[in-house]
Amino acid sequence: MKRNYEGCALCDATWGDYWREVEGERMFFCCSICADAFENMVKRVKKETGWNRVESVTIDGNYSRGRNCTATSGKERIEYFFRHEDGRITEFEIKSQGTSPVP
Amino acid sequence: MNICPSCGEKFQDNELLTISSHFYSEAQSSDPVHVMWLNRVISRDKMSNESLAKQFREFYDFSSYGLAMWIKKRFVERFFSEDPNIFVLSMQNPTKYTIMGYVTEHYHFLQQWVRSCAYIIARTNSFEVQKYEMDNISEEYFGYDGEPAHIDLLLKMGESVGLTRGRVMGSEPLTKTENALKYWEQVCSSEHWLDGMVSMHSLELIADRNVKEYGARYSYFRPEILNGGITAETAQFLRAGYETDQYHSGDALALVEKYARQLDMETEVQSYFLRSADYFYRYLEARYERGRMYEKEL
Repeated sequence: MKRNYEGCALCDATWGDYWREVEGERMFFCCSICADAFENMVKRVKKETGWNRVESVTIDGNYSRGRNCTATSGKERIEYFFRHEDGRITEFEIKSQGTSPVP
Repeated sequence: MNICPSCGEKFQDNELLTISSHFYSEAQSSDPVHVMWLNRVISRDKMSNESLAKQFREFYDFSSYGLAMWIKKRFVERFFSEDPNIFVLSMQNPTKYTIMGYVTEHYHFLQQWVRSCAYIIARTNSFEVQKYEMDNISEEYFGYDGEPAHIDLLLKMGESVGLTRGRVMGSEPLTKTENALKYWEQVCSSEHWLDGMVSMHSLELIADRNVKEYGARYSYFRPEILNGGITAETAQFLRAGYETDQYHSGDALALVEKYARQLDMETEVQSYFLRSADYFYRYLEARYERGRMYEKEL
């Protein structure tokens, strides 16, 4: 899965040493809460879109403010906002959804 | 004595190296609480144990401007920086739901506030501290110099946006608020009165109108909203806090600085301030989240 962060897949921090397989890929996270949040976010995107696979995720924001994201799968794309609490998704709002343009 | 500003673990010595090594070890094992604290307060970039110790020494250093100003600057960094607390953001253009969330959670906060101040009165022998706290409590529940009580202004603010007193007073605090209240109850009832005092009165910086002098990008709200866009009762409540909290927190922090030096508790006081700020951060999130709940419900 293509991502915009090199550190923790959710928050880009480089502390910690927590690994989890998401979408068939072993990913680095700073802690289990970030891993839960990322995994639950991907599941929610798949549920909302009906996609079989998420190919890329771009994330901007933080825990308190929430995160604005863009995810793609093939030519499909979704922009959404989410917040989480201890890894559980507490807010999820689709901003736009369609087939183009794919970044 | 000192505590971890994240988990509260107590350390018998007062060395910052003890705290930084504790954080380093917890972060190595990916403990979420400590990793999140490091991310938010120190740095998101992993570093060596030695570098982290240096960062902590620099972070706790108040030698160039004094303890009270250190607290002000650190508070501003946490709540009013380019990446502010979400409730501070929502207060820049508050909706009636923002105000509803504010009133509901803050009602519970104020009840704990007077309890916390009462514990400080009961546990100190300092006449000036007792007098300060009694003035403060009196202002919250009875008003000062003929002005309405702070808690009454709060409830009127709620009524002005359609929230009855009964609904506010019959509500249960959200979990983040409840956890914070329990923490302040514990600190003020069981720890040194000075730890309680810094834990509570540093929080009044949230409404200090001088925060931009300490480096804030945002203030609690835009002063322009006092002249329009909110109810008269909301403006009255915000104006009262705006005009009093600056001397409240300033006076209290001056006392904290004085007694921390006298009692050789400066580093300990710093850690208690940081831990309290953490709970306060989440309590402010609860105000925002309660507002969102009202928005969905109404």
